[in-house]
Amino acid sequence: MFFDLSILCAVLALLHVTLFIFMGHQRLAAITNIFAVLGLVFSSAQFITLWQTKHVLPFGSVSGLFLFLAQALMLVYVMMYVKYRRLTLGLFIFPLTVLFIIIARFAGGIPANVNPHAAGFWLYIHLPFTIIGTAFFMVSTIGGIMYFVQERQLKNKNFGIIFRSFPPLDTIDKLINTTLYIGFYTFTIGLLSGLIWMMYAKGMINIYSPKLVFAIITWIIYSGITFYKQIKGMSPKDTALSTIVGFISVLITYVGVAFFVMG
Amino acid sequence: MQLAVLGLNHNTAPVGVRETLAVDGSELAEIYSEIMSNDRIYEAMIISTCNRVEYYIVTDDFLCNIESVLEIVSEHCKMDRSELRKYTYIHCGEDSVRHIFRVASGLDSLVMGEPQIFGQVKDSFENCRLYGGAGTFLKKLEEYTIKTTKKVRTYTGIGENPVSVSYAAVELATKIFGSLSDKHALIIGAGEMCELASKHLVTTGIGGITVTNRTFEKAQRLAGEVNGSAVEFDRFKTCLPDSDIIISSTGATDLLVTAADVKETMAQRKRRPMFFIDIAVPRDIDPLINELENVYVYSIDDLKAVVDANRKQREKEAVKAMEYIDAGLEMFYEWLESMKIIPVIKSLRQQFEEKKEEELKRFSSKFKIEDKEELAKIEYLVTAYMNKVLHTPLKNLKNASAVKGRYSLDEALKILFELEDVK
Repeated sequence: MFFDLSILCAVLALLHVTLFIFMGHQRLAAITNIFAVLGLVFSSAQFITLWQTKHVLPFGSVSGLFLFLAQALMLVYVMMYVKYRRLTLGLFIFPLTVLFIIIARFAGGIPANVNPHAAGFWLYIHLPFTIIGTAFFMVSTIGGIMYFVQERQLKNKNFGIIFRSFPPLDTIDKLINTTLYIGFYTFTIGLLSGLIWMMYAKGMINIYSPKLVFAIITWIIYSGITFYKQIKGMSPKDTALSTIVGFISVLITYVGVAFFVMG
Repeated sequence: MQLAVLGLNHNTAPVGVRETLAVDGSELAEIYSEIMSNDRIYEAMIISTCNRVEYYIVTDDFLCNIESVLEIVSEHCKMDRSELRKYTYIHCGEDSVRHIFRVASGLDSLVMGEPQIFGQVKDSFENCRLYGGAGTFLKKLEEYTIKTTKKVRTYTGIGENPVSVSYAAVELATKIFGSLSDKHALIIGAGEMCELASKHLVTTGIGGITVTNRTFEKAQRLAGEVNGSAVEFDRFKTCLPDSDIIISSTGATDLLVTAADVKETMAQRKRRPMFFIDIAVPRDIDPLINELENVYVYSIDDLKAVVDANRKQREKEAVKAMEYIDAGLEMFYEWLESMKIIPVIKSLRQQFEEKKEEELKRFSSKFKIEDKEELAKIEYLVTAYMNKVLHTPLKNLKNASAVKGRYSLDEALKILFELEDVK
């Protein structure tokens, strides 16, 4: 039931944010946020129920991973809304949430049996942190895309609906920085805990594991971006570009993992 | 009782006529007392701003009494009545209530959606109370006007998207920088446009302002007005690296800031964004600067395009605002309908009180009760019983009076006494 309710909330949040952008009624903004929070509550309730009944979390399956990613995106949206009060972000996040929930649905919904190898303390640290980190990277990429779109509007002097609805460039830049840094630290914890889990589970760290190789490549790219920003400084436009490049690397990691693992 | 309004505004009267008819604060007492001296006018209110003068009256017969107001106005401003009629409009009933909601929301203003009018309408209601023009009707109208206007301003974008060039410039700056509290502006020129833009920047909470002008004293004067600093004209380029917003409006015939200057500045600023607003004709800022990364240049024509787009947007928002105004109007008239029942309720209560007194007298003489304490106890019992019996029908009578419709007597009884089980 919670699964279906969270899908419904994500779809309704998407519908209302779209209406808000075109119609501008402030009530629609409030309704959007109510559905976003409800979606988060229902998806959390779903995980809590699974933990109470089976004492496991559903990370051992593709559907479980996508469900958690959808939930993490909702969580990042709510956090970023509380900080920056920008509803437009939902216009990009909610379609992804709906897409991931649909993928989870096609991949089998809530898994009935959980892979026993996917249970364990370090894995329960590794997977959530990696997925939440990925969700933050996704939102920083969305911020990057929004920056370029709004920047074009300002340069070309287009004062249409996008110009009015999108946040100021400075706010988008701050949002990118916040999500980039939180994403980087979260992903780092996810990566380190993954290494520890690998040591406990297999007695050694297999550096030839495709998962590990691509995860380290992603980490190196994001650490490069964050350290360069810290030490040399980066213009907002370059930061926006770097988040997009960084996320392409994350995509390659996931596609690469799927290709190697399946292949 | 109904509301009627006699008024003129920027659409119906030229500025000269509006000036003649404007009511000064010192004249209010006299005009209020003249209007209220008419027995058929129960309440009155005057709104007088630079763009409108309006007289609201609560009366039974608006046609006759609006004429008497017209006479007072014509005497006051020494203008012939027929001449005055050419510039005025009259609304009555629902139209006049809708009109005041529109006025307070800024929909009827010269600059649509401007917020100052709301404060002016609130002041007018306050004056009306002060000079004895307010009664139940206008007090309730004030409450609904405030409620409706707040809804319009909260739930529609009528006040967003500036429609003046200097406001639009500052608004664009916030579209780039968000908060301006940690940003610095350089103002090149000290003319009227620069002064307006600087003052808007200060209102928006700009971190700091530097002013430069060929006549240094003028730069110092403007800097003093906006709590900024002045810099000599030949040294203003040294301020560029620290300036996020540059507003220029001088009479210079050559470009004052070139692409090469900004290229050098951007390297020093680590390519943090810069926003140039060029209000001068001919231009002060090289338009090629807009080609540079993280730099935005807006000329006077660009700003006018922003203003036009914003004006169209406000017109769209006005349609939304009318939905809230109509909803407010409906609620106000529900209240007004419910008020019609008050005399009936009063009369019914009085009748019950009289019967109670009569019966108490009859009862005390029949049973020869002279002990006052005992009589008080009996009266207490009868009063409590009477109030209990009357409570439900009176409550329902008040609620049902706002609903239009006719009931048969048995239906009315069922509604009044909540006799749900009767088949």
